[in-house]
Amino acid sequence: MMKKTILAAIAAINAKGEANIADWRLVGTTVSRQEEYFIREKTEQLRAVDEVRYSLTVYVDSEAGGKKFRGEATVGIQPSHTKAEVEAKIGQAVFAASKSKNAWFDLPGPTAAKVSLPPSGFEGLAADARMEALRSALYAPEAGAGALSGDSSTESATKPRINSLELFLSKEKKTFANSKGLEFSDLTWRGYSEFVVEADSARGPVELFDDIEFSDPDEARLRDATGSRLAQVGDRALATPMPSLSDIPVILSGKEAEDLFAWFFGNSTTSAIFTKASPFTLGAYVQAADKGGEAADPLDMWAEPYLRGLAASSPFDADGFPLERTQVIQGGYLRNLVGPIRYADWLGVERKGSFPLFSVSPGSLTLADMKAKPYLEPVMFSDFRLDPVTGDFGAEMRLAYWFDGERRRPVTGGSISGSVTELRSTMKRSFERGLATRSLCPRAVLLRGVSITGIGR
Amino acid sequence: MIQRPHSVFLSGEKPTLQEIIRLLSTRFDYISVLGTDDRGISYSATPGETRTYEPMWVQRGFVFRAQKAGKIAEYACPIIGGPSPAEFARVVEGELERLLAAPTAMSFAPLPDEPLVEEFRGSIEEDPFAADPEAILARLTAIRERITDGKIVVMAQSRYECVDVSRIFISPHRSLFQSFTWSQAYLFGVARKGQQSKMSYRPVSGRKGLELLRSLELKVPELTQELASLLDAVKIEPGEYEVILDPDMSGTLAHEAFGHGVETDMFFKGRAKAVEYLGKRVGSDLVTMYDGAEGVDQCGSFLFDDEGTRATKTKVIEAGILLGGISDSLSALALGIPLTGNGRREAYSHKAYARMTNTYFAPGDSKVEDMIATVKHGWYLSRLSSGMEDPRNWGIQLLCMVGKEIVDGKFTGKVASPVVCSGYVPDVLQAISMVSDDFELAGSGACGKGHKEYAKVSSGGPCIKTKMRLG
Repeated sequence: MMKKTILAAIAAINAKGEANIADWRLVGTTVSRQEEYFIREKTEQLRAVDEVRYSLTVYVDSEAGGKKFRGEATVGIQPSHTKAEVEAKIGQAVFAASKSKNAWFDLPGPTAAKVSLPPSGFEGLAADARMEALRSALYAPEAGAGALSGDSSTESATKPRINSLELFLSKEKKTFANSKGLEFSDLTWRGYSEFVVEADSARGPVELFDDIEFSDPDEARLRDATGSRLAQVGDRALATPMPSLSDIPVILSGKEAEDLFAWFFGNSTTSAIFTKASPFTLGAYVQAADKGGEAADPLDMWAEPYLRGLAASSPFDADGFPLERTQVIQGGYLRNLVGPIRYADWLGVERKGSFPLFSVSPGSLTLADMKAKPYLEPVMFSDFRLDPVTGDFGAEMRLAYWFDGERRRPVTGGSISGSVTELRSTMKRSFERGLATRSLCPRAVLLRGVSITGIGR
Repeated sequence: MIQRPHSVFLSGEKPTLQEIIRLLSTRFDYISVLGTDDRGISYSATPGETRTYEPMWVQRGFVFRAQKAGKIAEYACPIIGGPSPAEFARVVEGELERLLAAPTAMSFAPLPDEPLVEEFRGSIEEDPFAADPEAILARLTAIRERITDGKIVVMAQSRYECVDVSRIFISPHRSLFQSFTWSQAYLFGVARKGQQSKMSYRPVSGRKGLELLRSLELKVPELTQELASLLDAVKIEPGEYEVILDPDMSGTLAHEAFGHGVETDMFFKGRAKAVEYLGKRVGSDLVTMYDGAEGVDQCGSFLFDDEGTRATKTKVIEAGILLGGISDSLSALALGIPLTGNGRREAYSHKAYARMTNTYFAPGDSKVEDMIATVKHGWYLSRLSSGMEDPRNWGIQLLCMVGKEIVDGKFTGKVASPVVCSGYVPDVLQAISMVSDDFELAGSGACGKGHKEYAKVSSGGPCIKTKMRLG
């Protein structure tokens, strides 16, 4: 209904002839979401949400000095907008687009997807069973149905438990159409849970915060998410102040390891290279520090349209370009640029599309090898930040494990800082891989030369 | 000054909403609806490209809240559909009754609904919605080109965005309407030497219109100079130092340390250490801190919150003593404490949480130059990049892009970037030894609850001198 109104408004504007909409792209999104908010075992509040929204991008072409230019503007259209409001919004967008004069690029035409996404496991569950399946999996480790990885004496002393947990499950239907005749639709199940676990310590209760995104009712992955943090919060209860350490390798794992790899992925995009936000160039060796030298663990990275369990999976990018698994970095060399197609055109490189996900090949060290010598392994930060442009990173540590060669002990407080640009040639990644937030990548990265600030002796 | 109009859409739906609430008031112990119609526009200029789009804050929809036998549920929808108010009331009733049937739902004291009828319309100088997009894009392009020299600063981008907020709240005894505009603009620059890149930025924000761009244009020279200095930045030798935090950093310290820490839904969940310290000392005598949508005019200011509670101003800390928290209605009811007008949502489709509004330290009586003169060896810290709270265990993390070294009361010219600042909140606040007599609030960016639920807030205040661990 709304799509017809929007397309009619586009036709009416073009019929007037004041400013011609050369091309357009329309994305409709319908979301139905269930939400539950737990404080311990009780539900604070239940919510149901229905959302419908449309995003319309209009492209207006112009010519100057024999060159063709293209401007664009995007507006959101809500189902409550009247026909007159829709026409007014599109009219304003066309006017704004006519004032941008960017280099011209073409939109993708009709094409088939190059990958097919299997249906989510949520499809096979009854509506009222979905939230309960998720809740029971997330609470299972606390209920003792799954063993915590810490030792039992720690657990009995610190009583690790879930303080609060928020659970969201969205069914999201997206329809895509553009003026070139490309049309497709997809259905995504988008799950998210954030949770706070707590434990008793001599100083009072301590807590850890974490979250997980998912697109399948993967019981093992959900149980591991809360189970591993329950084990760690017991360790935080027993942690001692972080000592001043120097010249000790730092192991980053999980989402923080992913952030390191994401810096390479982000700097390999057409948009980052076109705008010069990235120092990379196609074909360049991207693991060399300023001082040069070969990488200790040459990187292989792929852009991925689909990774099972990750809701960001998609066979097309935002422009409607069909995605196909592409090697981005091979042996530390940048082989292909991925990213928005307009920048590919402007750079004069092959269009590959903008990928939501990536993967990294296994590294040269097993986790056991990595942890055979002294190390510091932060497993929970206040808020780990890695600047996508500079590569600088840093954060305060809420829990880390310090192995001095003889004993592994939990420590808390202090901070680390460093820069991927300086550490990229010496970083070593683990052989073991795991699913993170937007990638399948090595579970851990070993870094030498990270600056460590302690709070104890 | 141009007064902002109320949303025509919400004004048109008001009689229908009133009728739906009247019908549902007989079915529930409490019923209310919040309607939102926030429109906005963003302009960006990046190398080789300008673009216009809608910011993430744009929304239009409704959220109904009901209470029955103590249990509370919400149903959010983008449109009031159906052939009549009665028909749609039945749809809403069905959704809410289904949710309220959950056996594990908590029971709360009755939600308040004292009579209140009020409205607010903010004012701006230059209407961005009426301005020529070409002129705005040309100004943004000129700003970014001014700092891009291709030698030191290799890229820059600029952005301006504005949002016209319009919200209506209706319950059996309340009818509230507010409309105002806020804007924010940024200039980012990247300096590069070899493979090393450094970045910095300048933000401007406020309940203002297009006039804000003039403030951004004035900041170009200082950013250019700063970017050049960052290419020679050093790493800080890890340790504890005397620090002077600029207003943005000090405001974020207030925000992270005792803003999130006194959000009373954290009290309710047993996640806030602050509960044990109510009425007790948490900082030096120089520390007085406020949060409130009332009393100052910045991005966190409004007439009523997203639960229909009128805005207030809360004195969180007075002369180092912790006084109280900022509440959403559910945690206030559960804890038997006053509602402070801090129940806020990212959008109509999101839950209301206890959230900050404008959070700041009160100014003191020192001059910044006198504060610098007292530093033996320390750092003046500015250009915040992020902060994070730890309400249960009172850790604090602030990341900033620029640290300027001070030795024997003078800047040495040495710059560090980035700088990770951490500490134990009571230690940091107890160590506050000087507070400047100036006052500045900034409201660019957004505040999250955990890693989601973004809300417009502001923070700031004076410069403060304290001690923190740097690395």
